[in-house]
Amino acid sequence: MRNLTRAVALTAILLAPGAALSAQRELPYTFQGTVRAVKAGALDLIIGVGEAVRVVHMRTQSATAVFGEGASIALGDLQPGDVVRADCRLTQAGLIADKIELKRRAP
Amino acid sequence: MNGARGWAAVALLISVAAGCERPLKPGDPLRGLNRAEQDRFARGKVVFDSTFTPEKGLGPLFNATGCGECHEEPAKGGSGDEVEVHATAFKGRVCDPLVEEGGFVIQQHTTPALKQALGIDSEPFPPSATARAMRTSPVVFARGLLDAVPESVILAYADPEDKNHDGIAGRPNRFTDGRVGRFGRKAFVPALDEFNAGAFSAEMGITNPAVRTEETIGGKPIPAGVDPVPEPEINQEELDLTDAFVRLLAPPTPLKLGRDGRRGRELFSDIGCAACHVPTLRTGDSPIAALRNKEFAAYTDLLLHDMGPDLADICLGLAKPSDFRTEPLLDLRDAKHFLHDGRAATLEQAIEGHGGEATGARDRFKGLPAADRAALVAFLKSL
Ligand code: HEC
Ligand code: HEC
Repeated sequence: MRNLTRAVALTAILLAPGAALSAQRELPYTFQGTVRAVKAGALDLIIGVGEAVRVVHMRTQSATAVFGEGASIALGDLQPGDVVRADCRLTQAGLIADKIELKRRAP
Repeated sequence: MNGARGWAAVALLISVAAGCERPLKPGDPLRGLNRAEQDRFARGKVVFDSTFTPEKGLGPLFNATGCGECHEEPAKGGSGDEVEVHATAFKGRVCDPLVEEGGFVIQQHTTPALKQALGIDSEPFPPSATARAMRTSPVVFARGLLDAVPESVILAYADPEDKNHDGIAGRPNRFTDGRVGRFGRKAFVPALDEFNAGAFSAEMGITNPAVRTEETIGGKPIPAGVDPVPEPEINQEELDLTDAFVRLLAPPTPLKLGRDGRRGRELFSDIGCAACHVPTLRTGDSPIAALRNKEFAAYTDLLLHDMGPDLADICLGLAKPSDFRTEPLLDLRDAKHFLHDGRAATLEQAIEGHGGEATGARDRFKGLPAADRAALVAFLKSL
């Protein structure tokens, strides 16, 4: 119970491709999870609760703000295993990250 | 008050005064719960023991129709004869829990609608997996107490470099986000509420406020129309009640030891079993008084130990294929099989199956005179 808020925060929505959403109704989503892969313009996070692990793919844009340890960093500074929080919005083309914040470096 | 009840009350008073409380049976709640907690335990048991159908959200992939189908012997929250399949990939010393291919729990059943849509009876085995693991359904008694043991206590038992040269090098597992794990045979899951919420999804395909999405089918989304029940398929209250039931399950009181059993208990420490199966742990702070600062019989350090190549199966988190969490020794009196996949039919076989870091203890057990071996087993059967 004491962990449930965090559990909820760690979890998020896996999106069925082609989810019909109009551009006006871009839904905001926040994910906290572990970096699985960083590629140019894309980030994969592992989110999960217990045995239910999920992966979420998001795209980044030049406007995506990436912060770490109090300063602005580059997306390429993130490594697999880092814990991040990503504020995204769901567009017709999938998830776009607007802001990514490094919470903890990989152990 | 009728006569019989009156006498029962007197007898109870006398026994409490004499310090001999009624022993807790498997499936009983912890002692000292307040009214509200007792009520949540009882209502949580109903959710734990309910049967889900596709109309109530079951599946489309699942292992069983309710928690109580697997955790049921000799009482709800106990063990079960279901053996499930896990799989991961161990590549270059890094463990991949196969999130892209539907996760590491490989569900063995599908709903009729999914079967009709895809023609499959179970989740496809992930092509990237490097190993398969079988997992028997364990008792979940005392898991609330294990959850309330401070992380600092677990870390204090760790000795990853074996600095004390006893051949035993316990180390914590960590979840994907770095938190210390404690639940599951590989100690991958950090917190009980997370294990419970994850089990609704991984075992029954029941989405809930903590796991809002169905898992993919080998990485592919569920075909349209197969699972029309809107997410989450259970609400926060049902999730919290289930968690309360599991959390408040007591460890059964050990049976009274005879002379043999007492000798066995000494041997358990003398030959080094207690180096991993730490007999008692102490909880820290908890909002629930019955879980707060309580010493309890745990027989585990919640750490990973290399158990040798014969037991090895999958990696998970930081656990290598041969690493397992020291299994808490609870309700062994009712157990019909032992070790993670149930391969041992007797306690002797379970001990003889220990390898790796436990080789010394195992060999000392094998070297004991027959009467001492029997005494150790008698002790284990009191748990
Ligand atoms: C198909 C059978 C099955 C069902 C259904 C099931 N479990 Fe389990 N449960 C298992 C198995 C197998 C394990 C051991 C997993 C492992 O070792 O990784 C387990 C482990 C657990 C544990 C961790 C125990 C430990 O020693 O760390 C908890 C807690 C638990 N289950 C709770 C639940 C709850 C709550 C539900 C219902 C929401 C549930 N289970 C449904 C089979 C099942
Ligand atoms: C190096 C640590 C270590 C030592 C020492 C050790 N164990 Fe274990 N024990 C484990 C682990 C880890 C498991 C779980 C293995 C598995 O499930 O495959 C286990 C499992 C067991 C089980 C099976 C429990 C179940 O419910 O399936 C029993 C019984 C047991 N140990 C008794 C003993 C006894 C008796 C000794 C001393 C002779 C001993 N152990 C020494 C780590 C240890």
